[in-house]
Amino acid sequence: MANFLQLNSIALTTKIRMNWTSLRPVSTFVLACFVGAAVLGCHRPPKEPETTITTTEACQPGKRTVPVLRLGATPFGSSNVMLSGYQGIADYVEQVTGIPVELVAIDDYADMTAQLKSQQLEIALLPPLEYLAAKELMPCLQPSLTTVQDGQTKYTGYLVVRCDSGIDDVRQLNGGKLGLVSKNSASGDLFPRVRLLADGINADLDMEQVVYFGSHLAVIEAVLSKTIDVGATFDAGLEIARREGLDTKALSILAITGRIPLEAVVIHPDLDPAIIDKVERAFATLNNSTHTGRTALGPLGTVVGYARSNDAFYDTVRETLKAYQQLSGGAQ
Amino acid sequence: MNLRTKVPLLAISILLSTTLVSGVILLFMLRVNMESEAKLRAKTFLDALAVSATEDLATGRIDSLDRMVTTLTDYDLEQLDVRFVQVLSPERRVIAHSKQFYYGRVADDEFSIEAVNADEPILRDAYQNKERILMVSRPLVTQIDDLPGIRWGTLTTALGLDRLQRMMAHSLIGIITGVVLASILSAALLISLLNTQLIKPLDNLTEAAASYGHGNLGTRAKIYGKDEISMLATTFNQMADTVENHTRNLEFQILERTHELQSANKLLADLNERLNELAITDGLTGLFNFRQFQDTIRKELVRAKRLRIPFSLLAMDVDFFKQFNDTYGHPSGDIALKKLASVMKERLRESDILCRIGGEEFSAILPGTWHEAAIGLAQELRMSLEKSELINEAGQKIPGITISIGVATFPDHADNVSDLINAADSALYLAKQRGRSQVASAANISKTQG
Repeated sequence: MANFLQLNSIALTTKIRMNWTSLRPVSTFVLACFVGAAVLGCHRPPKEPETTITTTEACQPGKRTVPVLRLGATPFGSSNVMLSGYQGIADYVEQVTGIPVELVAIDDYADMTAQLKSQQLEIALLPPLEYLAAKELMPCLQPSLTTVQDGQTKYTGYLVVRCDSGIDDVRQLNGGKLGLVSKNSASGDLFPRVRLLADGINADLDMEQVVYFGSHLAVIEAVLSKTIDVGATFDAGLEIARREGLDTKALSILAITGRIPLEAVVIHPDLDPAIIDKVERAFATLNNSTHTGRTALGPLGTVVGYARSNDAFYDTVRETLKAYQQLSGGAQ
Repeated sequence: MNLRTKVPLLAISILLSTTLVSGVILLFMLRVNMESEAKLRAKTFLDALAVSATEDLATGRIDSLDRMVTTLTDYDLEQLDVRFVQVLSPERRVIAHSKQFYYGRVADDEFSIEAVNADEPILRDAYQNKERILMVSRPLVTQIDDLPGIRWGTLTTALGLDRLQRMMAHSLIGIITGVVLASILSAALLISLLNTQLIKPLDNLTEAAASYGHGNLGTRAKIYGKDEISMLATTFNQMADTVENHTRNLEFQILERTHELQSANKLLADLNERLNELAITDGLTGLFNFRQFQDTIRKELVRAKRLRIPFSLLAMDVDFFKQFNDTYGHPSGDIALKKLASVMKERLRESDILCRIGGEEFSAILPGTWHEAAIGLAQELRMSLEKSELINEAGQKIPGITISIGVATFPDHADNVSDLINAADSALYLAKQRGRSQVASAANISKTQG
């Protein structure tokens, strides 16, 4: 419980300002160090954080070589759209690794995990919860990289209400109607549930109704149309809704549910380390700093690249899930 | 406007202009330098922040990023105030901002759009709430084995330049004060120097020249040093010395010439007087000559007529003077004539005019003298001469001479000169006829002739 509260405390205070006055001397010192470092010639862009893929003793380096790298991803529309959206990435990885890349559209993440496990896929793009599920099945699996969307490796989950709802405290939601996105969604299910639990509200027991709308856009529409009192979404979801012409100014962020890591790029661990290394390098160098990268990533909207990552990066989700399971009696 | 006014004014103008131009250039350089320094600091500041910001973005530590940008608000960056620091995503969403409420918003201002699209740091001047600010941006990019990595976003900041401008304003006041003080001091020093080194010597020279021009040739200019003005003063003094010497020599020469001229004039006057005397006097006896006689008798007749007074004329002639000369010689004759003149001068009045009008002929004009008085005076003359003794050149006594005298009087016997002379001559002739050494009256002639 304490662990859960601590976790949520971090999440809740992400954008809640604290009084940092007492830390000013420290921050000044840190800044001075930065300035000193800059003056000493550290003008080169920093190296991307090194991620050490911890290979347990049980995880021996793989030896499998493949004629084709199969890249699996879930569609964000029809399969055709997905295929065209990821084609640029596939082409780039093929160019860098020298190994042909085949795109595989998989509608269900569980199916994707299964195919990965059965060596029907070599590369997969998995959302946080799906990554954790896959990790359970394949302990040697590592998130080589994490998707960077609009400059961030994490996104922020929200609970939103209408401005005119009169709700300005999470506790007021008790007995209200909750809109979620889908089960196994981090920002659209797990994190909002945990946030409600932090204020003593069990969504399944204390809310009048919990509805899964299937998409963030539908959740936002439901809040605006007063179908529900509160909806779960995330920062990019609000931006998409705004671009779709919804009146997002009529919405108020009631609470931040957490900062959630973005999709993980996983590479099958039984592949030859040289191949893994080539694939990692291909993804790592695919970014918005080059024309090639921008062209390849263009269809994916706000994705700007892939940052090297590790399993620990997903601990936030893991711990939130664990906390939820403990508090809710394993509903997830 | 005189030189005393013009020169200091010109000097002050040049001094002020030079100092002001220097001040403006100094200020401009100060401004450029400070702005350059501000931009350098801003860039260094962002470079330093970028390291941490990129690290935070890459590792998803937005909390850490938040803390950093929050603590930087109003951070004192050596005369620069950090107004805000923000991290923009590639889509221009505010990922972190030093002020609340901005999170998640899309920055749509011109600078943010430019900054997000720029591959290099950019700096722009702008005004925000009437404050001049420096907008600086820096792309947040990682690197992968010397290859460009992800462009995570863009770090932008606004640095308030108010304090920098205030410092520049203080500097400006300091510079202006310094310039003014320096100008005043320099001007005072310059005026003092000009006064002592230029104006005063020139005044002295001018006064000396003016005094010299008014004729004070002893005036000399004071010599103050060895500069050009002193050389001019020295030259002036040398010129004055030369002119004075020349003038003195000239004056001496003029004096000499004047003396000589005065002497010559006096001599000439004496000579003229003598010549005049010679013109109207007889050389032997010193009596008036015939010309003077004629002139005098005409004037006397005019005067007598105007005053209605009489005057008489004595016509005198030495008796047997030819025989006397033949007997005793001409020198004795001359002595006799001189004696005659002397005796007659002695006996006549000062107002009477005695003339020698011929060899042994004499006349006397007796102004204001009636005829009887003239007859009596003539008798006295004749008798005095008879009684006088004559001594010749050898100192020997020789027989005296006698004279015959004819007397005529205006207006009794004539009313003009020629008639009067004729009347006197006729009376003389009568005296000669009657035996000489006697006086005859013109009145007798009338009776005799009548």
